Amino acid sequence: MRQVTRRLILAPLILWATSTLSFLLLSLAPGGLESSLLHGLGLQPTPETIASLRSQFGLDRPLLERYGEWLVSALRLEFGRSYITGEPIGADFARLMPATVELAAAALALSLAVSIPVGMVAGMRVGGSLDLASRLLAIGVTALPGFWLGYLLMYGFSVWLDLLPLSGRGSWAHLVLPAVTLAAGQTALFARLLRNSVVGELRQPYVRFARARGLRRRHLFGRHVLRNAGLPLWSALGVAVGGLLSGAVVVETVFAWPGMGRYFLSAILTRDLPVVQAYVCCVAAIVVATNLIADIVHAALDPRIVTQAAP
Amino acid sequence: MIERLVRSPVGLVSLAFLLGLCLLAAFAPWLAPNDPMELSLADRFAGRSAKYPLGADHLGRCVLSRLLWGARPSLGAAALVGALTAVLGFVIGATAGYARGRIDEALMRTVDFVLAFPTLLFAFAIVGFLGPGLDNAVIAIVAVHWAHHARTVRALTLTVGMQEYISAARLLALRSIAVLLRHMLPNVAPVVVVVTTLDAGWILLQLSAFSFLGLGVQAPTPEWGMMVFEARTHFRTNPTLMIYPGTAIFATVVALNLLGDALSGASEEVAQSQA
Repeated sequence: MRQVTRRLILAPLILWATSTLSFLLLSLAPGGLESSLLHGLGLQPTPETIASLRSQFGLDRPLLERYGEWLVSALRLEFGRSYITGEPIGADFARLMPATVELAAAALALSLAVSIPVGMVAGMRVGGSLDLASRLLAIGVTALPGFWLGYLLMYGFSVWLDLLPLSGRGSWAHLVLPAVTLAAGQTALFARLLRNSVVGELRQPYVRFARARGLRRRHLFGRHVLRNAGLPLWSALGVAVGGLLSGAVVVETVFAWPGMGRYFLSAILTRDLPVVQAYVCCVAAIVVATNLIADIVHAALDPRIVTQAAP
Repeated sequence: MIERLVRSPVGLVSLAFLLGLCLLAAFAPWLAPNDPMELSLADRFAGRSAKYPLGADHLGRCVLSRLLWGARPSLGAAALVGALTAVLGFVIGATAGYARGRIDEALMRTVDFVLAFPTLLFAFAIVGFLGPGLDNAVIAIVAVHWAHHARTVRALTLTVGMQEYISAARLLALRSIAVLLRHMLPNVAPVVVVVTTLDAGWILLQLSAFSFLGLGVQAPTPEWGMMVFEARTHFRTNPTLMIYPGTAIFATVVALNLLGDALSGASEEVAQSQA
């Protein structure tokens, strides 16, 4: 369990470092409030408006006092107020979070549903037609800009075939194209990972023994090989969640999906620094938590990790 | 390594394609039929013609000229990011691997911290704090990506550092910098080249995403990601405007990835033949 314990100790440290770093970046960013006025609200900042806004957002108080306040509000998931709307950021996040979670979860489920059978079969028949086809597809998919793939799918399925809605969020049909776009890269990655892992697993002595014993193929693959070969997927899951959240910024923009990614992007473009700061901390918390869960599950599934000494 | 690369047809074709692309970008001012910025509202969405070989966009600008000029920031920025990450990754990774002890520990914990985050989101956030623009996008991607290189280089430096000639160099009381540059670098360089090539496609994709989102190259400068962004509102009526720049990004990234694969295959062969 040393690996997991180490992670447990490290997790709050990472979160604290992130919140401090993003606080410092916000406080030290050149002319944050001024450029936010200019880009976000189209106002020409005068010394008076800046001074009044600075006191309104408490920016005229000492750095340490603001830092303490920021830490407390971040712990309460409040994160202060937006420069642009003046609304509390935590409330905005709570409103937008379900849309992003829905999109990311759908993409993750889709990529697992496709990559597990493909990776298994490709690994069982190395050099077979599915192996070659999935390899070619992976080369193609990993080279596709996500935003471009989104528009291509939109053109094909919404404009040309007129099967699915163009953009926005609503019915299940609205979810299909954004989820496919977001899942594409991840699916290719998972399938290759699983394929290589199956190839390695099939060389293990226990597989030969099970075959010699006359174990049925389905039983061998379903119970033994997949269980072991699937382990690297667990470790990849933590990274995948981060990738999905990054991809969501692009996909939500393309499909006008009302989620956190689009909110984050508009905050960057309007230089709404408190929102950027809050988003960074939120994502850090999500990623740290997923990694932790993935590690614990991994350790539970693979006793070798527990007995091995941590490096 | 180069002789082995020549024997891989895929790698060779990719290399030729990329070199050709660099030439096109370099000679864009002479090759482009029109000024990439020149507006001509009479020619909005003009089809293919002698004047506009690939048609004109929503502002009547020549698409072919914009593609050729657009290769410059796309390839140039990707090359810059690749070079900066490689140098930064080498300096930090080699220092950590060579110095060991506390310096190693401190540098590697920093690497762990950087790697704990989703790379791209972290880069978005940096642009958020610094403000949009190609220069800031380059800084942001380098700032999140060097850690991957540093980790690879450190591992390599640790292995190379065990070799006798490094101990000999240390015994001769050569300065650390001299050992690192004269003896370490030549041994680590091939791997750095392979890793950088494998990364280059990813970097190009990220940069184009930055431009597409309005965080990188700013209008009206032509750049491939930017061109997809500008074409998005007209893609139902004029899908080709989006097809051209997207295909350019796609083909370049495929070529870079295939070249990277061929290079890493070649360097593995070399490593095996030496072992």
